[in-house]
Amino acid sequence: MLLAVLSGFILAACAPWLTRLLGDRAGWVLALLPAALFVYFLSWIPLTAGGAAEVVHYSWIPGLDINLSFLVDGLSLLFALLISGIGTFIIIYSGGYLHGHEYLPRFYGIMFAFMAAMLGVVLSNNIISLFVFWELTSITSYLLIGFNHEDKQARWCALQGLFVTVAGGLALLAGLIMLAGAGGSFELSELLNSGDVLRDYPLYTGMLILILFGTFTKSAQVPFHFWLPNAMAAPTPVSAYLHSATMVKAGIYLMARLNPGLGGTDQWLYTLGLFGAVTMFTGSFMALRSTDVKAMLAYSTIMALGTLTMLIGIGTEAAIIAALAFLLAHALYKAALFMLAGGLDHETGTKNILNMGGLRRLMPVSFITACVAALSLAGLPPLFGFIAKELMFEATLHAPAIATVTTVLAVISAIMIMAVAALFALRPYTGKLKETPKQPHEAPPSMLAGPVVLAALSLVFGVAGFLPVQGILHSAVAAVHGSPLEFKLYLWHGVNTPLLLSLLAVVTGLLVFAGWDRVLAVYRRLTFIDRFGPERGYERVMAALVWVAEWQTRVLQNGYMRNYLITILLTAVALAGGTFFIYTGNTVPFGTVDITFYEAVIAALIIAGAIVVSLMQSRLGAVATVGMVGFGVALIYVLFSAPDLAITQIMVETLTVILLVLVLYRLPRFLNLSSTAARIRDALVALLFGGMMTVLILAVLDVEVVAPISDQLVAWSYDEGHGRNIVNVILVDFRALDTLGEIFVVGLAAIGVYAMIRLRAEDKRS
Amino acid sequence: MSIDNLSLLLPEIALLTLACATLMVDIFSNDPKHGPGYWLAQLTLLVTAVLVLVTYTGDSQYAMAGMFVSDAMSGLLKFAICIISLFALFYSREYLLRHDIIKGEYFVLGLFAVLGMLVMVSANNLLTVYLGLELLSLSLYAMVAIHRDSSSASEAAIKYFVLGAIASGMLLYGISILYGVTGSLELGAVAQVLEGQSDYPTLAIFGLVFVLIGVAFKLGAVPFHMWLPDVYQGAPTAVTLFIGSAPKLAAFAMAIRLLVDGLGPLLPDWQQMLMILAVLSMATGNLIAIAQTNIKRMLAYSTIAHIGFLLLGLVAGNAGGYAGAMFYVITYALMSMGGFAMIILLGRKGAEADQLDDFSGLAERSPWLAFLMLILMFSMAGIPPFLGFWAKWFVLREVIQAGFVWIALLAVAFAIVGAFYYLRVVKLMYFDEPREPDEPQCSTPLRTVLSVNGLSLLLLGLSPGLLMSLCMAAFSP
Repeated sequence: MLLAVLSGFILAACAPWLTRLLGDRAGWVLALLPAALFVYFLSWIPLTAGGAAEVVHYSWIPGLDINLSFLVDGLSLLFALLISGIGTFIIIYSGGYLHGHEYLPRFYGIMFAFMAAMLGVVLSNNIISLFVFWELTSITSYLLIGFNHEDKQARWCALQGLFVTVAGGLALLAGLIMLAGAGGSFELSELLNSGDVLRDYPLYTGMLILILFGTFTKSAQVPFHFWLPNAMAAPTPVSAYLHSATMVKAGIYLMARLNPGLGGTDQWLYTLGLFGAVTMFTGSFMALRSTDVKAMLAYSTIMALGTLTMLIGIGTEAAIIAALAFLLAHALYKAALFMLAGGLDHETGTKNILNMGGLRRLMPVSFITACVAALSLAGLPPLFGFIAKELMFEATLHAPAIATVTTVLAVISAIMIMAVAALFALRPYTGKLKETPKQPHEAPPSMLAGPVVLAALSLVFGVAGFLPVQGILHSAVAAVHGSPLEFKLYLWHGVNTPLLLSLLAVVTGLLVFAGWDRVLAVYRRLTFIDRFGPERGYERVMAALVWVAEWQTRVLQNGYMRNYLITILLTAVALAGGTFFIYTGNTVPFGTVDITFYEAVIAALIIAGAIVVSLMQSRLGAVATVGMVGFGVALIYVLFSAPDLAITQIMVETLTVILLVLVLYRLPRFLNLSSTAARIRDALVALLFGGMMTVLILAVLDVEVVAPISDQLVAWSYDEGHGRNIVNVILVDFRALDTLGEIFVVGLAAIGVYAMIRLRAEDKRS
Repeated sequence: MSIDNLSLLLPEIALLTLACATLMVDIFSNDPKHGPGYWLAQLTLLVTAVLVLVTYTGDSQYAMAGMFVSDAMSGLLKFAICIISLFALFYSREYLLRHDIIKGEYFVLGLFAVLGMLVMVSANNLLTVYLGLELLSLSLYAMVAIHRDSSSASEAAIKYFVLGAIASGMLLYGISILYGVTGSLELGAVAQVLEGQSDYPTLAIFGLVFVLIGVAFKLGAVPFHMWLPDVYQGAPTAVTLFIGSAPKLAAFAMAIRLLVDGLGPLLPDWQQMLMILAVLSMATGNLIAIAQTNIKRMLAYSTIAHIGFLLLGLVAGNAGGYAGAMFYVITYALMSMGGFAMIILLGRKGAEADQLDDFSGLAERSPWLAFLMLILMFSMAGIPPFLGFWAKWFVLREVIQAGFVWIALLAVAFAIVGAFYYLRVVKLMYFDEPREPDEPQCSTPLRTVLSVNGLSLLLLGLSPGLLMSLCMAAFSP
């Protein structure tokens, strides 16, 4: 199993090389891997029959709850089969579609990595490894979408698409961590059995929102649907793969997967049900508006994704059966349709459906395949799509609480999709032959193999509904529902409400198709909708972020050091002052302070010095006054009998003044650059900070003084230093290392001076 | 006062001695490329790293009358600091040679900065912390100003120096209050006194506030971050690279030593303050980075955001959280170094490649370099399977398990905003037209080392278990 998932990555690494080696046959040969995987996954079917689940465990980061464990049951197997099966045809197809393209080798590499990541998503049992694969699909799909990077459109949408999915991914991560915290495990197989615990989790709603944010962005639900059609700039095999079986379905997969654990609540029903229904409607509405064949299909995909989300949200037995049947049906016909659309684009050189016509004689196989696949899309018998649509109506009619809304939206969507299907199948192929940029002829076999087989499967599954049910749907439904359900799929259900609704949709849909040119004209008048679309919202948000950033740079980070200082000082005041206020209230624990006459005089001197220096207009004067403050401090040391400190202070102060004077001598004339207002502001900040310091110092005075270190030195000097002269002992014993260090420092400084002299000499020479 | 366990200081002693030797050798060598000094400096770091490994026991041992501690955390961090600095000096030399501003002092200053970092990491005394910090800071100030003729570098240096001095002053003030309250400078003793007393907290909290300001400044947390963008942009890229990598590990160690080892009993207080700083940092860093067109400045803001994330680990307030933060800071240092190294690589004499536009179409000019940068950017954005993802995961997990769900959600929200500007770089490289068609010129060693740097993020990301368990071990009792 591990090899099955990782083989794609391994092949991805050597695919570029193999492609060069194999030349034209590369597509067919490379397709052997997904084909082999498909067979391998088929062999698992008996093991999952009746809803059984198998966990395959490999440890990755033991001890940290992260394992490469895989969960194989009906649901994951259904997806794995779709990914590998459709993947096989896509690889063959790309060989023909991108024939001779210079980046084809790289394309195969990314494609295989993408496929492997998708398999990882649907098979992972550990939610962290699931997330890792999930994000890998984002990265690789980004590279795939941007593959055609000469296209201007591709550049713009690549960033958009990736940002939306990565943002969703990070939200999903938070949600998954919460999920693990709530359920006490990182393994899906255990989490899904503790559904009651999860639903009772106090932060259930928040967790759900985060997870759904992730799945909605991935599966292009309204209001995140805008990135998907933009991803259309990708080469067609990519679109087919992304939109039929894979990336966009990853979100659907996760929602279906989590249904037994998280589903069944009101939040789940309303969020999924309503967002899904609105997405379904939006997708079909936009699909009917498009004239680009790929965009048309992309929007119809959004419709399908909405339908699936809605069905999972409804969550009744009928809805789950419908969801999985619809998923399978959609994967089959949508992959076929995308590959056919790619064929049209490839052969005619245009994607605009208005510019195509009468191709049925030139491309007969494509035409017939398109008709079959489109019938399934439209939901007409005897195709599998019909069964799926009937089931969907059945489910919406009996949905709890939101039956009316969902049914109405479902019928309207079905009408529009009927028209879209008819447009796609008939418009390019019937009527008069139109002039196209390229001379069209039938697509090569590599590009037809996929559509033909997939369309045929749609037909076979429709006629013989028991095949998919017994094969995989039965166990998949069991996995999503949490327990096995008995059901059968037939084309003919007798005359009932779903059939009547279908009939209504078909008839109205065909009417819309007949009058499409008029419908398009109406749509053209509705362009103002674009101004309120989520895409605009995305642009607005981005613009706002940039504006905020620029504002901050202008106001706070403006390069003036004095502003930085003000920020630091004020924050210090706020933090310390806030603490002070919280802890002491209004009572200030001031100690009693006795101030002697000398102290008062010195303090006055220092204060006077500080005031004068800030008013001083000449640099020399300022330096001298700063010196006054320094010497004042030295005097305080003297008063408190610390002559060594006082001496040091005096030396440093003298040296500083001399150095300053020397430097200032070379500087240009003093200019007063700050305005009066700025100076008043600065004075206030200084007073505030100084005031806070004063209060603090007064508060410190109240604290009991710790025994001075001198007592300890006295105690040590005889016992440990064996000397009666304490000063001597301190210097030669206690501070012996200090003295050594000082000697060392002086030596080092000498070397430094020598280096500087040398530098100077070098400078002069050069 | 006896000198016991001096062998614990072996790495520091060796480093100091060899650094002095480097100074001597460089003065008396006439190599215009300062080869001997450079190689001796690299040898010094290598020797120090080996000695760190040799002296590593995993237990807490004290030396110099309790001023110095060697434990599991110090072992791992010191080793990481030496190795990262080794890379940093390598990149620096390439840069200095390319821009013709190579000076021997650079390597000596670098070594002294590393010494300062090691002292900070092993400090078990308030004064030792301060000593290490000052040694590091003074070396860094000088390194920023190493290119004397550049006015932007000089401006950056003076800003860094003045603001740094203020922050150091505040830290020192906090230390003296703590000493006044507890009567001890030793971290363990400070914690013990605070644990037992109920009268002191008010004043101790003032001490905490000032200590915290010092720590926040060093880390570059908002609102003490102002120096960071200016210094990162103004300094020569080699110096920016140096400042942005190993010193962050030391700053992290300083935070752990001061806040956890020394002020552990005040956890509820600093937890709240750090929470504010963390959220502010993530918000400011990520939002402002979007508007930058200079990539050095963008990375500076991204640093601020990363620091916010790292602080979250401390906010969690337990061993797991600290381990997560440590994992994060090591990851960050690797990523940041790679990012700046890429800027160095793309630059030419007299023209730094520090604009975002310089990355346009890199995929066409050199697919391999673009791929490396893609790894770096994805890793910074926190996208699996790269190392940056595990760092975010680790921290988020601990924060959520500690019960701060809302703050984890904020972190995720800002990480999403942050993803935007990282992805923009990737977009520029892969989708835009190159401004110049030719492949960037660089030496084979530079290319190789950068490849190792970049791929390490991928490989460590595929098997993060070892580093994670080392980080966990550093804080397990």
